[in-house]
Amino acid sequence: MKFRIYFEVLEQSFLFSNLIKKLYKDAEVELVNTKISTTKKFTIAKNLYPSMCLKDFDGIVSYLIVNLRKYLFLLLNFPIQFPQETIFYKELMA
Amino acid sequence: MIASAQNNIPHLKIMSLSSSGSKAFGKNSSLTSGFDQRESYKAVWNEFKLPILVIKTNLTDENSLDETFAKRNSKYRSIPEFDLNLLEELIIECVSGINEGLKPGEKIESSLNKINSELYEEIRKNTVSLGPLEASSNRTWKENDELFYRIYRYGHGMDPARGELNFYRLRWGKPIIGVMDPNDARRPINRENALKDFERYILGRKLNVGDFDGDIIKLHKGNIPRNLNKNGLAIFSNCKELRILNNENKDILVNIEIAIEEFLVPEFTNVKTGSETIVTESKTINEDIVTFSTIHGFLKENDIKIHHVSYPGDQGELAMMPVRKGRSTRRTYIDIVAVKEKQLFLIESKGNTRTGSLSPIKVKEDIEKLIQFKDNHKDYLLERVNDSKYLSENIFNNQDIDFEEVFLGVAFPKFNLTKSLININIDQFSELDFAVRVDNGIWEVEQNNTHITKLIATQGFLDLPDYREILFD
Repeated sequence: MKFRIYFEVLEQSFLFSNLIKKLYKDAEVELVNTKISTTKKFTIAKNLYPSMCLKDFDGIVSYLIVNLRKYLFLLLNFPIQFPQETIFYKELMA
Repeated sequence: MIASAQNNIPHLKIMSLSSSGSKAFGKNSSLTSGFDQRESYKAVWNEFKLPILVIKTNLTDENSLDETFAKRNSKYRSIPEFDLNLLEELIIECVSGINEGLKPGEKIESSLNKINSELYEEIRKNTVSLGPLEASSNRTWKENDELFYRIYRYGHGMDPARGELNFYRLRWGKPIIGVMDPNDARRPINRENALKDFERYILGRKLNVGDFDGDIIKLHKGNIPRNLNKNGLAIFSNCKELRILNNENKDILVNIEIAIEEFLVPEFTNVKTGSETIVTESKTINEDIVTFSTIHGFLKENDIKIHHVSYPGDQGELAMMPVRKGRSTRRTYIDIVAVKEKQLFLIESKGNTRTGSLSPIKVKEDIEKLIQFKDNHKDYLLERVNDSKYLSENIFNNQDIDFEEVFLGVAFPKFNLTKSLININIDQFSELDFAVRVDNGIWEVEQNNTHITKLIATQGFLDLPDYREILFD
């Protein structure tokens, strides 16, 4: 299984990459730095519109590839003082 | 959460119910307003059947200001401590759902009433039916079959109100009336300044004659900007009317009628949805990487322990508030607060961005900020660090440290985006003790102060994990 983790804070991506590697011995985890200016946007995958077209993004998204299909898997913002959120997931593309 | 609901995707919240800053910000801050966060999850379940999991972080003991902080991973201080079992089970459920040909959301929903694990027990807590909406406070009240919601602050301070506007609109089932009662209004308080605040913080453009019908402003889908800011989105999506009050005598200064039926979503028309953004080899030494290299390279090699770190985008918890003025209290965050025996290290970090090289001026500004803070508030600083000792039991052992020295440092990339040296002469800042220059794992320290001679290592190499970055056109 292949996972990709989009991160803004490298340290925080370790939580997920370590957890995924612990759960799935065969997992390959790719880390991608998403720190961008607030005017830039990126698409995680084709037709991922609109909820995951990210602007001013500050969290972690990972997706899972199974049999060449990509599935958006997890989005996480880490908490500090105020409740933050993690959005789980939507199938992406064939 | 609304975005999750709109897209019918399961939702997980990891929250820290800590109370940092609540004393400074008073009883009307979101943390103390009595708003029950769990109500919003139930409301979303009732409306959209969206399963929501909440995981709470572990908290420190209270300090002298009754503050608690989210406990942190001892090695990676930007990661809060929480029950990993729940997260593990959630990942396993989602992956197994995909392997079974289901969407993870479908998997969780289909198992909700069948499995009695800790995960599903937690999710079920947010699936309880809600009774009629109670609204009889100073913040939210009913009048003539209308629901009113009071907003106390503009700008970033409207953050909690945005979520609550979405919540009350959802619970009420129809648009509500927003009452802007701003204690941070532009002075002197009058209609002219209230209009300026509205333009700047909510509408995002100048008002023109066509927006007015007599004294009333009338807005509709045709005359609001396409790229509304977050405050504008929350107001125009949830309110049928906005009244801006004179915060001192409660007269209505401005009345805005809003005729927008549908829920507004952010404008994504410029996004290329036909293709995935390309991922490429990492090249940018941004602030995150500079901070990471400073912590896991320079500080670790010198056995200087991290007490608190504020990575970019990772809102720091340890706010410095030497002068308290209630809601207008100014907060200062120091990127890295570290300790070695009785020495305190304060470090500011800066980096290149994907679109621009770091300007030496920005580094100099940070140096001056640090020096001024130490000069003006040294006693407060030492007291504040000791008062946050529960964040780092391994450093403080729950005892105050009698700090003897405070060292100031700055960390930044060695090169800019065009590979030219970022040239900053630190000799000009006599109170700055050192600078750390970072280049792709290599870190070098320049010392500016004979006091700081006990460093074990002044240069080194940190084997950064393999990571990539997004390629923009």
